[in-house]
Amino acid sequence: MKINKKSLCRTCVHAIVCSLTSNKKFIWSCSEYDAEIIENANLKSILIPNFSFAKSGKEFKTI
Amino acid sequence: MNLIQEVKPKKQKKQPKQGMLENVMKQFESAADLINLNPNIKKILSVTNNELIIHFPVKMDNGDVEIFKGYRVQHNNALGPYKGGLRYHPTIDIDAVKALAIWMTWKTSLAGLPYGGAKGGIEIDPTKYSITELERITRRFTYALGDNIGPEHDIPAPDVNTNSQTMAWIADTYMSTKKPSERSKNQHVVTGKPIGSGGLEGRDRATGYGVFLTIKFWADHENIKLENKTFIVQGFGNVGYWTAHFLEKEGAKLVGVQDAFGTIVNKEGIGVENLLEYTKNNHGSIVGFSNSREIAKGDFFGLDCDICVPAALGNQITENIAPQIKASIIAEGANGPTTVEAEAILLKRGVTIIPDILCNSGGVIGSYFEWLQNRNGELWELDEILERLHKKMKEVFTKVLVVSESKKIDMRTAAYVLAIERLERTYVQRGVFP
Repeated sequence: MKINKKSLCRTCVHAIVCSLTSNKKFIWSCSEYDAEIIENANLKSILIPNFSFAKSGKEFKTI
Repeated sequence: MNLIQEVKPKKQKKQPKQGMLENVMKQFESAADLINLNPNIKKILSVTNNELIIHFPVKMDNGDVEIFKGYRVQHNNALGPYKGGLRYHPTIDIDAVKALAIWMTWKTSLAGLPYGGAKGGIEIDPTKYSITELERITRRFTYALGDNIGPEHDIPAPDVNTNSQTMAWIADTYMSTKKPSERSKNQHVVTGKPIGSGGLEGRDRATGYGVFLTIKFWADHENIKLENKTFIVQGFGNVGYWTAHFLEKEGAKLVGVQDAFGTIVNKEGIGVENLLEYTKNNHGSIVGFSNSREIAKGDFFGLDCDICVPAALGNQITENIAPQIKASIIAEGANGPTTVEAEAILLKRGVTIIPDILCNSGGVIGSYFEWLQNRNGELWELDEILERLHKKMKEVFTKVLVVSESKKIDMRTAAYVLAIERLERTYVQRGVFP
């Protein structure tokens, strides 16, 4: 699988097994694009500690 | 300068262009030739107004400082403030941003919006940064952009790896740089904000609803009822899901879906809502959905159906795929899913293609509604928003159809003709300063 360095596929977690296209060059827009690590990173921030009312135990969903 | 007057041909050094930018310029040049675009206006539209590259420092969680490279390209603002997304990605470069900015100018012009075209972003792999770092990066970039963006000047929106949270940070940072008495009137510096912070109800479905509407308008024009018509969708993301949702509501039957994980079919129909629920519990994948069977990915576009919705990515319907297509209409929910060669084959076969620039413009129209809502200090309800979207899409669709039929050209060419002619008209009316 050739992934062009200018393609979104370069950072997409589905790139290796993606069934949408075998042409991974110059993909600049994709509905299935997913950089899963971001979502995991965001989970750590569901509790927003720098707001004083977070101490009351309120939780905020990531937007 | 008289814009109507013919200009002397001037020998210019051809700039080497690559990839996406080259494609966008080719599309523009062929449409410009077709309408015999005034050469002076062609010169104006062939270049970007402003290209901003910013290097800015941000302190990381470990105390180190990293320098980031951010872009904002403003192509044209003849019709109104620049409008376009911000993407965070390591592959971003000035040529890609320029191409996407130009594309936005055509899109907003065709949609009849009071906007120009822009695009921007940061060269960054966001997966390598914590959420607090991303917040500081976003806020510092906003500060560095300064008054190069603004609610009446240039209005960013979400794109790849940016979302409503990113927009909320930008709005907050931008507003914080203004006098207290002026802060609240700057909320519309970005669109795509969270609903609680000035965002629009139903923004999530705006693009998909727009795709559905263009199919419905075409069907009405052809005196076809969508009830019991079969359709296939490539991509079950936001656009693919909402398009399928509205088509199913109209009585049409989903018979094939393809996503990153595989392709599923069922001639008897696949329940759209059930499939969405299934994907939520199956790591986002459609594969394994009950009452469906998996087929080879290469067989997807050849499935027996009436409507084909490529809503995933570009260059999917190629010259090899085009002869296999059974659908009588292709609604381009994605950007650039049909290649030029494939389009020629399909048009010859009598397949209608609703072009991306028209088909997926519900998103930018939704952004316009959010901007208007904030600007006028109003809060619109979902029903009202969908009604307005319907009215706007109908206007644009009808215009494209009329031009397509009267000039005997395909809908894509008609869409480009309309977009460029609107800009031409504006320049002819107002001239060029001084």
